[in-house]
Amino acid sequence: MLAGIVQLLQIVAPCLCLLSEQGITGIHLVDHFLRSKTCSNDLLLGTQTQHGLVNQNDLLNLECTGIVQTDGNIFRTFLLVPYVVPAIVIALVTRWMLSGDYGIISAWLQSAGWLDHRQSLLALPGPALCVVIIINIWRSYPFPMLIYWAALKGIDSAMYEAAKVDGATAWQIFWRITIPQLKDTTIILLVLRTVWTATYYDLIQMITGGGPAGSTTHLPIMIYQNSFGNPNIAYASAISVFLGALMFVFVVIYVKRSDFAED
Amino acid sequence: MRLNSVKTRTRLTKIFLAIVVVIMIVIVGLPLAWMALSSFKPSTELFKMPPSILPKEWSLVWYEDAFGNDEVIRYFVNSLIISGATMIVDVVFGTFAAYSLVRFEYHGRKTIMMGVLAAYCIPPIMLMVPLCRIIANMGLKDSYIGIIIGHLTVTFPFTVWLLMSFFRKIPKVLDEAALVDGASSMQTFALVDLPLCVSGILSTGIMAFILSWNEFLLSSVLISHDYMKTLTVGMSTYISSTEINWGVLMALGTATTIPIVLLFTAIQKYFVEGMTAGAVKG
Repeated sequence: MLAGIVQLLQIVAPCLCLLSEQGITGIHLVDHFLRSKTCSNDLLLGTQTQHGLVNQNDLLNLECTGIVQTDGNIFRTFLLVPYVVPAIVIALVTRWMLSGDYGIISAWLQSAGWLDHRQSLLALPGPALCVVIIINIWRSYPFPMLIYWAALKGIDSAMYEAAKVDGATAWQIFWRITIPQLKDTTIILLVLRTVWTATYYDLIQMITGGGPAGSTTHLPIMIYQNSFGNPNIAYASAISVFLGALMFVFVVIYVKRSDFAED
Repeated sequence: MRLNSVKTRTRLTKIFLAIVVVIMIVIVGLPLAWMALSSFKPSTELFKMPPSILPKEWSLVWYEDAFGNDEVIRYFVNSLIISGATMIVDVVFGTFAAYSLVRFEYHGRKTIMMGVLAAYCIPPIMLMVPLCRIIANMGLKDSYIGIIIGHLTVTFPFTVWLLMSFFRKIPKVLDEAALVDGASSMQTFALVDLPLCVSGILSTGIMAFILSWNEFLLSSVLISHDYMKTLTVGMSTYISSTEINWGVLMALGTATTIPIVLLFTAIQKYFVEGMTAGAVKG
């Protein structure tokens, strides 16, 4: 029973993972913020040089020709790659880099004295959980990134222009327009990612197999172990149903929130 | 004066962005680059502590090892057959399904759309136990058809969902114009709407191929014989054996990833379009 409760708490791990994921996508927000900042200046310049009403997007293309604009697509493509790299390959590289005998990261940690000789991070319960979470983030951040990117593009530029005309600073524009406009997207992403991360099995299974000492076991791994490793189908089904019910709550929120109903 | 300050600001912004970009590239690229580099190192360098970053001597010995093995060739062929068949079935049926869901009004349309969405959201781990039992009871375990059915249950909802977003973008006026000119609805579909969606359909097909190529969970459950193993399952057997052959595994991993990444790079534009248009809207 106690073990069961502990396993339940493992749901917290994916949630943590999720939060950090949102953090990474935050970089895009920063990027957007910086761009809107330069653009407000450009807009000033533009009006001064009789460009008159210049569309913010044109300005974006014209003036913010930094890395993000010109090579933005190459960069985006590159950042999307983790989304399609096979999970087994990621697991493989993780285990290779963290291998106690030959792994490059283990070598650094060992020479820094943070790990014993020939020891691997994956053999320690706490660090193993951290590793699994980090790898999960590495694997799954592209999806939220993509969606946020689209959402940012979808914000009506008229709102920004109006704010600028009213004399809002870049910070104010960011907090009062950009963030509220992303609220719905964030909720939907949280829902979707919770469902997917809490039920994602492949990576953890192949990196640690739930070990050491059950420290990285979460519900999907329990389902798998109970249905194939050491068959106890009834127990596995019970966990499945429980997990399903839990996830169903999130799916209902998603359906309610998305514009599916009006379609 | 003002011009100058704006310019320095823009430059600072650019520098800051460049730093962020470099950090992101390192985080994303490093593990994959390390895998590729490792696969070119001969065993004397591969198992040296501390490891050197670049191989002093580039060697293809691990690739020869991996592809000299009939089993590995077999894995590749299996993966190709299964992913290819999954892709074709997905695209053919998915196109019809998505088109009808977007264009026609009929009883239960909304329910079906709901079902597609629900199937898209239901995680494979929960389908695994029942699906595996059904397929095993049908006697399709360890057969191409069984595995393809398994992969279809995972990829089909995604395909339909993505395709719907492409069809939705075609203005209905086109259909109406075709109808006025006397085209049947089949002709409208085949001659007006389909050609407009070809790139979207192709990229959806490739996405289905990638998903199926990467699939591990269901395949690992449905396959027990060595000769039916897909690449992912084959690699996992290598990884879980006590004596891990790292060199061969690195070579295999690189060989598995490269085609996928190339395919994805080719279609990413349409994929991004489709995902951001229909999948999730704020």
